[in-house]
Amino acid sequence: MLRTFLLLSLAALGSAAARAQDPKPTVGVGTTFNYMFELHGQHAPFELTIASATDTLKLKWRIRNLAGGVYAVSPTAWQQGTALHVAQPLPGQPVRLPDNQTFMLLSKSAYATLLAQHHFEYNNTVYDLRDDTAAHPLLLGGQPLDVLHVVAQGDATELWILRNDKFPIICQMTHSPLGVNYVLTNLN
Amino acid sequence: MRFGKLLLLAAGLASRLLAAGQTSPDYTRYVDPLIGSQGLGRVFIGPTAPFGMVKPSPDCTSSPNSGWLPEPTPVTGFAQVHVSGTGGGPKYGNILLMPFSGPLALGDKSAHRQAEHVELGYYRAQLAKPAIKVEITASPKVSFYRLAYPQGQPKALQLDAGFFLGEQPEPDGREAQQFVGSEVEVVSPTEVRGYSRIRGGWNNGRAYTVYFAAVFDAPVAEFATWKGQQLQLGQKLQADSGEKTGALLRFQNSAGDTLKVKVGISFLSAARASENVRAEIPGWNFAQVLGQLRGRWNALLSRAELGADTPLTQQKLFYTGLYHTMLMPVDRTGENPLWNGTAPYYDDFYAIWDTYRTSNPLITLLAPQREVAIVNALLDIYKHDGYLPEARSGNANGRTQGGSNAEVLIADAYVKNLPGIDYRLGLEAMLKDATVPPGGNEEQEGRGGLLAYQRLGYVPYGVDRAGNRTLDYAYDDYCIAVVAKGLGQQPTYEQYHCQANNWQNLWRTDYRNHGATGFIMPRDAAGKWLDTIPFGNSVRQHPTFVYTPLTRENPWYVCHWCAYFYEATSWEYSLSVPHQVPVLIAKSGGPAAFRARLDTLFEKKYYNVANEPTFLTPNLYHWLGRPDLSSQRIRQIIAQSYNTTPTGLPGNDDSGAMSSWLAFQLMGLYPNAGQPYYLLNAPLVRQTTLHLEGGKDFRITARNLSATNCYVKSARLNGRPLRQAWLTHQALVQGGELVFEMTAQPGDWGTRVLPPVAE
Repeated sequence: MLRTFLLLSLAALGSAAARAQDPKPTVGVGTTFNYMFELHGQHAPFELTIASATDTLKLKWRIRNLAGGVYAVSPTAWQQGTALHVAQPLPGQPVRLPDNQTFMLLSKSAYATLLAQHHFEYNNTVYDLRDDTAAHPLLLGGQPLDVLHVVAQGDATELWILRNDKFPIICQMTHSPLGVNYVLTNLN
Repeated sequence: MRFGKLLLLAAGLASRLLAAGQTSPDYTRYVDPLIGSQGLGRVFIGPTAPFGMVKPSPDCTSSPNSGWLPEPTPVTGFAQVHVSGTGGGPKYGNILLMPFSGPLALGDKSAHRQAEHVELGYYRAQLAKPAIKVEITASPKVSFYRLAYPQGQPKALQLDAGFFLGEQPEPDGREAQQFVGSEVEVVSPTEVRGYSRIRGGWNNGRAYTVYFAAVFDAPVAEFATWKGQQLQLGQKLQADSGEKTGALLRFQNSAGDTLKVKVGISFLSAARASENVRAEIPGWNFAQVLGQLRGRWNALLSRAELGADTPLTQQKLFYTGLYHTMLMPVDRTGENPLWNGTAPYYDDFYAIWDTYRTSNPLITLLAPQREVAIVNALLDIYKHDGYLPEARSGNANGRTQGGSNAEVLIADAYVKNLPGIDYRLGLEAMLKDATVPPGGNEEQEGRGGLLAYQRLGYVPYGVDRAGNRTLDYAYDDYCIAVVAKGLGQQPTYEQYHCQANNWQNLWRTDYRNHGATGFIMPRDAAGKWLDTIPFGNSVRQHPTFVYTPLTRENPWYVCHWCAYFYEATSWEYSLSVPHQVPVLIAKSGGPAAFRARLDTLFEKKYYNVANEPTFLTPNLYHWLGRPDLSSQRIRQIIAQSYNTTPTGLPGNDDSGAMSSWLAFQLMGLYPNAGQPYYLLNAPLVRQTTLHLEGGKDFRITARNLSATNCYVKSARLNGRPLRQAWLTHQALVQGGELVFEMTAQPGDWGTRVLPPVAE
């Protein structure tokens, strides 16, 4: 009855929440985002690090300290991608994503559209901005994080996107119809 | 202090002598309960009787499945019921006892441990602060504690009826135990009774109740009981109102600093728990109870006697393997809260999918009457609950993992001529599994996807675990056919003999992967093979993933229980056809291709030593006439994955599954459960003598065995040449001697007469 991902205590969330956090964190090469993933009822810690950000954006990932890999987001995708990569991460060799796909962040153009038009389209889904983060902030280390809350049309997906022109990282995903949800627990 | 040490030494010696009896050597000293206690093994480390109902152990937080964790995690207390080697959500961890030395106040009394010591039947640790020494032994239904407090310090004890393992903050968490109720009562100055009622846990079972009676060798001087957060000094009873209850006790000072506590448990009533204490441990002689416990174990362990020159490491691996195998299922005969009767009652089948391959066959070999009782318990559960368990815990069937594998246990008992089982009732119960859908309770019992299996001859993709369910059902159907034929039920035999071929309906003949041809692959109800599979339930996006024989689609695409193969890939499960290996070889492209396939499986590490579906796989070389290659793989697996350390088991022990696989391989035997023979491998120990029930001995000797002489050159059974690399169970239980001549190079032994082709 070995489990690939064991059910984990949510205590890790509590310990991360105890630390104070800048609401507008500086993000760049070397920044690591720690998440708690919820995968079809199982919890697993997940780590995403910006390994390089020249033309190509390289994102290192690691899950439960067991397996890891690298996604390469092409300059085209980083600039104007239209879809999140939703396949299961494959450990080992770096995976170069197609020119329309990003991983756990929006393309710069989608983000710009969101700011300008208060909605954007990704993965064939339109997401509408909700002006409710003041009332219902996403907390990190007990402090509100400067994020944009969007809700999907058609599906129940909700995203909380870091307010950052260059790295609009998705800090939280809930009610994903694909069964993969996550929340940021630490950032450094 | 010195006198105390001498006393302990004397007690230990006495218990060893009791264990050993007049003539039998003491095999309990080779058992190390810590082997497999850390990492994935998760074995229970406390003292317990064989198949014992009470399993006291430290509980180090409420998280670990076995209760125990090493330092630096502190011990929360010592609960009386645990399981061994399990994955998934924890179960039990009831009636937590914790000594302390402070005032009678609510609050966490966790303590770090110093000098923790574990051996068969005995646990000892010194709590760091306060410095209380805790010793534990047990009888089948009673935990026995000896607590030594610091001189002059108050002797206090907490009994927590509200504690349990796996508590989750969210209500009704899947596989999380949930609190239902509890009660405590100080019934006399020397006895506290009560119960803990919990539901859920790994098998998502209905509520079970662990009743207890804690009896002390000194009177309580002061006590307080609690309910929820309210502590009441001198309140004798905290009646069940759906809140957590417990008792804090301070004992009268006496000449010594030791307090002895016996905690009897029962699944019927607290009075029955008290009666269990009186019946099993009427006195207060800790050393005597320890000696009796070791005597029980030694009587079982001594049925397999390794040669005197066996290296200590092998002795430890072997006897600890036997020990792990006989921790569960748990004998609760006379403690069934659900119905009356004289039949044996066993619980904690965890799960038969895990244990049917090696755990139960090992019990059959060493203690066949025990296996008869276990099978009869399964049949009694069928009679009253309506279905045979695939798994069962807390008096509730659940969870199914693959097939309805109690069929294999019944067939294995039948082909090995175990007496005292109503096989007609067995066939009826097997046919219930095979013909009556469990009506929405597919996770609990019976066969999920049964109607589709009957209609299509396979379980289509979309039904959870469709791949391994099809393979397991086909083997279960084979087992039904075997028993039906033996009972003269010809039409039933013919039907299930035919259905035993059903695995072939998912065999994708032309599919190639890493040089191998033919795999069990996903197929929909229309018969279409699925190379890409949609996932999620979005109305806006429709992603797919590519399915290959190496795909593990959980947990990213589907839930843990929803994968096509339970905890395995097609590379592993496509070889799980224990009744039709020659057909499997032919479908894989013939012997040469099959040999290459097996080699690829092992060399590319597609083989998963940590899970049960591949237990038989290293032995498949036997069907190619190459038992030398089987033995070579087995030696590699053992060398790489088993050792005598706390992380010495490669996966969840699963009620002794990993351990019994090892024990068989060390002897040079491997059972094909449900079939009446053992495959013979090069033994890893020079000599094993099986002292069989009934008085006969069967001795296996590997002459000239050494690190280099690891191949069988020839074999003789009772003095006559044995050219085949297999032996029937009946030949073994008749007694006699099997002598292997070992050599450094593979020869032609076992190359011509291949293992039997199943009926």
